[in-house]
Parts: sequence; structure tokens; C-alpha cells
Amino acid sequence: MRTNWRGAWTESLLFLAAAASFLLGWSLTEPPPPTFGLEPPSEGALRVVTWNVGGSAEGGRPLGDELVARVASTLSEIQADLIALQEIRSEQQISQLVQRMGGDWQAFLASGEGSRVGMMVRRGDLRARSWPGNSRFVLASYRPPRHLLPKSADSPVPGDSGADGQGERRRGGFRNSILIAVLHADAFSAEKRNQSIGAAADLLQRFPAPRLLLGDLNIDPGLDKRQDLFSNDEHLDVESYNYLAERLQDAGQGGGSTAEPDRRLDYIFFSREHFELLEAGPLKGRRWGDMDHDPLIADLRPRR
Amino acid sequence: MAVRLELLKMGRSRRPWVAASTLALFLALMLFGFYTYAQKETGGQAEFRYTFENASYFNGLTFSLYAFYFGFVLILPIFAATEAGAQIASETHSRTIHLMLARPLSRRRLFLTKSAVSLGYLFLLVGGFLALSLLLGLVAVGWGDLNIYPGVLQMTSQHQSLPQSQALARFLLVWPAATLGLLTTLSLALLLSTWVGNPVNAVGSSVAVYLVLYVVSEIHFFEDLRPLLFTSHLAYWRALFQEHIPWNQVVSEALSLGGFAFLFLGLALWRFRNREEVG
Amino acid sequence: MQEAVVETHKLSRDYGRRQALLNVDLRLEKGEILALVGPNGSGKTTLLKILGGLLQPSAGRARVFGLDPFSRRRQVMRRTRFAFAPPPLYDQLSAREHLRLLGGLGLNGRPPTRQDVESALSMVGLLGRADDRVGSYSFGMRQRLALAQALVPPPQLLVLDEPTDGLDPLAVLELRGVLRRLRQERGLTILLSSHLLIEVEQLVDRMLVLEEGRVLYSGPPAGLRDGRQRLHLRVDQPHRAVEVLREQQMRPEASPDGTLLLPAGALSLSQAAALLEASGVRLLEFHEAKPTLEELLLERIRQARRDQGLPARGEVR
Repeated sequence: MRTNWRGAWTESLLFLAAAASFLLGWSLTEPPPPTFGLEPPSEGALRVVTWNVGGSAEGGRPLGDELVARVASTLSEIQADLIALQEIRSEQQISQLVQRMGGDWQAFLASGEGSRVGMMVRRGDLRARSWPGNSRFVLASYRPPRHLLPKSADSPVPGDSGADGQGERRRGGFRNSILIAVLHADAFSAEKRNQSIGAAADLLQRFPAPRLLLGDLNIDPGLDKRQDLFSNDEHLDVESYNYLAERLQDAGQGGGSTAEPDRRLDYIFFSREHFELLEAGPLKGRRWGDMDHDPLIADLRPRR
Repeated sequence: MAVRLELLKMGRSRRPWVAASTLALFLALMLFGFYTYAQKETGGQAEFRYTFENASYFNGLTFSLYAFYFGFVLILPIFAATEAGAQIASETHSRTIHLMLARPLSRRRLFLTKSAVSLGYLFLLVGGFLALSLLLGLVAVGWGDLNIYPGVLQMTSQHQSLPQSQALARFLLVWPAATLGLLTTLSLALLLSTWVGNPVNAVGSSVAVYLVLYVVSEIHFFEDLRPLLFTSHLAYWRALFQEHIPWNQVVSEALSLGGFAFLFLGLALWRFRNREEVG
Repeated sequence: MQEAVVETHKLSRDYGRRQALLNVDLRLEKGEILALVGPNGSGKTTLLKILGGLLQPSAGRARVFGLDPFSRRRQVMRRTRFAFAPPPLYDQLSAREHLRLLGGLGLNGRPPTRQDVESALSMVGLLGRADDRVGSYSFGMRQRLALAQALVPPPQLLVLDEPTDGLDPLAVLELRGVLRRLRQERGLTILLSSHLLIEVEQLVDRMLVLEEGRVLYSGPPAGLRDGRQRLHLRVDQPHRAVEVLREQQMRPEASPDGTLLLPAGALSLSQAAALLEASGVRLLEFHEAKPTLEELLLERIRQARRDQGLPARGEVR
């Protein structure tokens, strides 16, 4: 085919228009959300972090002992008041974290074997319990210093009934506390995720106290994400997310992905009537070895 | 005169009627599915316990949105490709293109006329489909406020609630926006039909290419590739249903789609102007 | 020298390995009627497509009104109309719509006059069914419509590909009349192709015979006969007659039925009778035979095929 150059100006114009459109479109593209800035939390703000510290090797494994020091150093950098961890292997690991981070940390690890969820708080008092037979769910009441408490935090939180929870650190709950659920939802069954997230949401909703739900929920109903290989029913994940979002506010919204490959699986939900969101987002560049999650951080100002 | 000829040919062909009937049938099926699903959900028969879906969520506007979205990604591209195939490949196959080329009409003008007529057809088809789905939603379900939840049709990352009048205005905005999205498929099909002389092959290959790109653009594996595919941007009009329209994002994606459309049209015109009529 | 309406110089075209045209020279003057003649696949349609700007030559040059028809097709088509074969038409449109809409293409919105449309339809005998959809037309009617659309608006050069295909003998006769009239009344230049010489020989001024893409003959139809008329002599002693004629420096050919053939004009009847009777041979029949153009053409084609080492049609090698 020999090119007839006479009249080729129309194609040239179309190609120019294409190039201009692409360039202009690209220039308007919003950059991905930046990593969370590690300045200290502003006065009167509660810094909360959730982090799945496990790795992706062997189809998912708990934190390796060799990485404990690095995790501790990152957590120290973050200067959080409340830390929710997933995929901790042992009590020894959580003790090492407390030891390395120094300061007055209280920690709790769910009972059970394998991959477990844990919590750490600095300042204040922590009462926590894991669900019988479930190493991936912890319910806790946290009484922070007075200035970090929302105004309407005097409602009672559970725990004072003395129910038999395994791994309980301190019996009883108290007033002037924040009710916290830490959850690591099932990675492979949307149905199980729907059950555990729904149950946690219902449980928190029963109390008018300030509420936080943190953890790796393994759901990603975000924009343009489909064919998720880890979902056996995508619709159920949409249900789970919206069920939760109707009750609590999602702090990490718009903050971008928290896990490989470009998925938002980690969440911090809070009761919007008790907290105001100052800033939230994943902290990038803190994965080592086969770790596949970023820490998700939120600064919440208690409504007073 | 060229436009009048193209319009008359299109009007006398069965294509518009086949498209209209197919879309009407699709809407009827969607309505049936919507009714049974809504009944199951709100009647408490759903297989899951923790659900956000309720009776007020299922209204005529939600139906129209669902119906339009699925029609947009799965059915309208086929009609866009068919139209392009009929405009070039079909005329090549039946050699009627010789009739037009034996007139003092430049290939450029002929191509641009055909493209413009196809685009007009597509615009009316999209508008007709939107209008019909809204009408059916109103008559069969009844309108109301439009609530959109995260994850549903991948439209938003947070709950959006639009009052009825505002939602209808957004549907009006979607009309040209969705037509622009489909223009890329149309121009891709025009490009392929300048190469492939048989209309069946031209339409088939256009639809196949569209489906492959669409599937690839929906899969996580191709995270790096996705922004480079026009199918990843096609349904950008969904952002128009957010309470506060993210204009930056909408304009950026519309420009990308425009870029693809111009590129395909440029290549198609280059091919059409230089090709020989061997058959 | 006046500019030729159509001119090709060493025009060649191949489709990959197949040579469709080779070094074709053609010149068509204003007001002439020229026929491209040759069997199917001889390259006629390829040549017409090049002249219509649908194909590009592989080598050589083609000009219509002095312009390259591929790159300047629009300018060429302002003065030229084509009717391709088999006629490509829109089945869903009527004959009148074809003429009205196609006739207005590229004319800046000026539709052809009603008179032009009616006159063209009437000329091809389709006025009575002008508003019927073309899908209901017979092949012959489509052929006539293809001609009619090529007359609107009136061109200076009319190119017709196999215009007699599918027409009954009466329609062929009418077509010849129409084309003659067009030339007389409008001074139209006409280029047409046909594989049936008999249908065009009475109409055309010149013809270009193509075979396997090569020009076999170019000139007036009668020129095909040059040197091809024969004297047929039937005698009672063919062998003796041959000897007698050879003695007179003639080279008679003997046909299987015993008839002797000599070039036309070699002898008059009285000379032949006298010569043969002087040797005791009785002349029974004497006449000059004129082979048809078709026969001559076929003979030339066969000869050309033999020269190229190709099997002739109907022959098995």
C-alpha cells in the first residue's frame, strides 16, 4: 500500500488531537495519595494504627522473629497511642515488641495457635479479651488519658460482667472507655468474612460508647477492582463493607491501597459521633521480607 | 447529500430496529431480575445475614442505573461495532463503496460522513436506551432518591445519596459522557472494518478485541497495563453520580477516551484513504 | 496534440505473483468509443479499476483527463461516471433515490435536476419502476439502473464494465442505440469492457484486446480481419490442384474436407478456373470466406496462449 500524502492533513489533525488529549488527560490525573506523614500527632489527637505484620510466603504466615526489631522500630516511629496487630505468632513476639519500643506499653495477644491478633496501648488502661476459640478477634476497652476521651464516653462498655473469655488480661470493663474490636477476617471465604464483620459491627453497635473497629478485613469494595482471586463471592464483600460503613466511619477512605497487589484490605472504622478524623493513610515503605501490608494510621480527635 | 444518503440507508436498514428491540428485551429481563432480587433481599430471603440493602434502596432510579451500566458495558459496544461494520466493511463486501467512490467525493469526506452518522446513531441509541430504562424504572418501580453504596457497580468509595431531581440531571449528563465512552469502541470497529472486508469478521473481531481488553482491564494481574487500555476508562461516567462530581477525574478520563477515539479514527482514515478496493 | 481523455503508458499491475496487467498502452480520444475485450480474467476490470482510482498501478502510468485517478480521484470523477459489474446497488433504495442521491454526491448539496433523473430512467426503460426498491429488480434491470446512475449528472467520460451482461438481445440492441445517441448528442467519450466481442463490434471505434493482462490487439474491429480473409476452392482432384497452384508460387492450405484455402485476392474466379482446367482439374466451388471477429479473436487468443506455453481454453495438455 503506497501512502497518498495528498489530504493527509486530516489524519495529522486527528493524531495531534489524540496526542493533545492524552497529554492533557494525563496532566489532570490525580497522583496517588501520599504516604502518611510521620509528624507527631497533634495535641489532643488519638493516633491509631493497624498493621498486618505477617508475610505472604507459604500462602500467608505469621510474623517472622527476624522482623520483630524492624516492626518495633517502625511502631516507635509512628508514635501511636493504640496499635492493632495481626498475624503475630507468639506471646514472645509481643513481649519483644513492648521491650524494644520502651515506655509504658500494655499489650494483649489473642489466645490460640498460629496467626493471632494483638493490641498495644500507650498511656491509659487496657482491658481485652479474645473470643473463645478465635485467635483472630479481640474485643477490648481502652481508657485513655482524660484529654483523649470523647465527651460522651461515660457509657459503660462490656467486660464488667466477668464473662469467661480466654486470654483475658483484666477482668471487668469500665466507664470512660473506648470500645475496640480488632479483627483479622478470613482471607478465603467471603461468607466467613461477612459473618465475622457483621457480628463485630453488631456487637459494637450495642453500646453507645466510643467505638473503634480495626484490622485486616480482607475486603476491597473499592473502585474498579474486580475478579479478586481471594473472594468466593464479591457481592458478599460489598454487603460486609456497607453494613459496617452504615454504622461506623471508614478512616482510610481515599488513602489508597494498604496491601499487595494494590488492594485496600486494612481498615480503621470509628464511631463518627465520638471522633473527628484529622488524617489517615497507609505508611509506605515499611515492608520487609515477604511482608505484604502497610501499616494504616489514623489521627482521630475526640469530639468533646 | 452524502449525509442524507447515509441516513436514508440507515433508516431503511434493519439495524436500528434490531438494536432497539434487543435493548428493550434486555430491559425487560433486567426488570424481571431486579424485581425478584429486590423481593428476595427485602423479603429477608437473602443468603447472607448482614446486608445493607433495603426496600428504599431498590427504586426506579437504581434499576435504571443498573440496567444502563450493564447495557453499556455488554450490549451497546456490540451495536457500536455493528454500526461501524455496516458503514465500511459491509459496503466493501457488497462493493457499494465503489458507487460512492465513483463520485466526486473525497475518501476523507466519505469516511468522516460515515463516522459522523455512526456517532449520531450511537448518541441516539444511548439516549434512547437511557430514556427507556428511566421510563421503565418510573412505570414499573417508581422513582425516588438515588442511593449508591461502595462496591456496587464500583461506582463510589463512599455512600452517595442524590435527591431524585439531581439524580435525573446526572442521568442527562451521562448521555453525552457515555456516548464518548462508546465512541472509542465505535472508532476501533471503524478501524478494523477498514482492514477486514467482510462485515461479519469486522464486527466479530471488533467485539472480540473489545471483550479481551475489557476483561484484561478488569483483572488485578494487569494493574500496570490497565491505565493504557481504553476499556479501563470506559465507564468513567459513573463518577457523575457522586454527590460532588470529581470533575478533575471525569475530565481526565474523558480526555483519555477522546485520545483513543482520535487515534483510532486517525488510523482508520489513513487506512481508508490509502487502501485499494481489490474485491 | 489534443490531450487524451484516457491514457496509460506501460501500465502494469500484479496481485502478488499473479500479473493482472503488463505494459498496457492505451489512448482514448474525446468522443471515441473504445472497448476492452478479452475473456474473463484477462485484466479488463483491473484496468477499469485503476482508471477509476480504486487500485494503484504496480508500474507505469495511468491518466484520466491528465490526472492520476488514484490521488486525484475526486477531480477525475467530476467528469467521469462508472458503472461497475456486476452492478453494486443498494437494495433498500429505489432507482429514483439512487439517481437523486448518488447524483448529488460531491456536488456541494446541489441535487441533480428532476429532468436529468427522469431522462436517465427513461433512457434505460426504468421509469415505470423508478420507485420500487432495487432489491426486487431482476439482474437485467439492475444492469440498466447501473447505466442510468452513471448518466446523472451527465458525464464527459462514461466507463462501463460488462454493460451487456445479463441483458436480453433486444436490450443489448437498445443499449447500443443509447450509447450511440449519447455520443452523437452529447459528444460523450465511452470506454466499455466486454468478453463478448459480437455485442460491441458494431458499436465501438476501436478495441483493445487483452489476454492474461497483455495487449493482444489494439485498433478498429475490422483490423482484426487484416490478412485473415480466405479464398475457398473446392475441386475434384485436390492433390493435383495443390501441385498446380504451387507451380504458380502459391501456398494453398488443405482443410480436412478437401477444400483448398488461399489468401484473399490471390486469384480471381476466372484466373482460377482457367488455371485449374488447363491442368484437367475441375473447379466445383469458389468463394471468399469472411471469418467472424469472434472467430478471429479466439484464434488470436489461442495463438497467444500457445506462444506463452499456456493451455488454450477447453484444451487439455
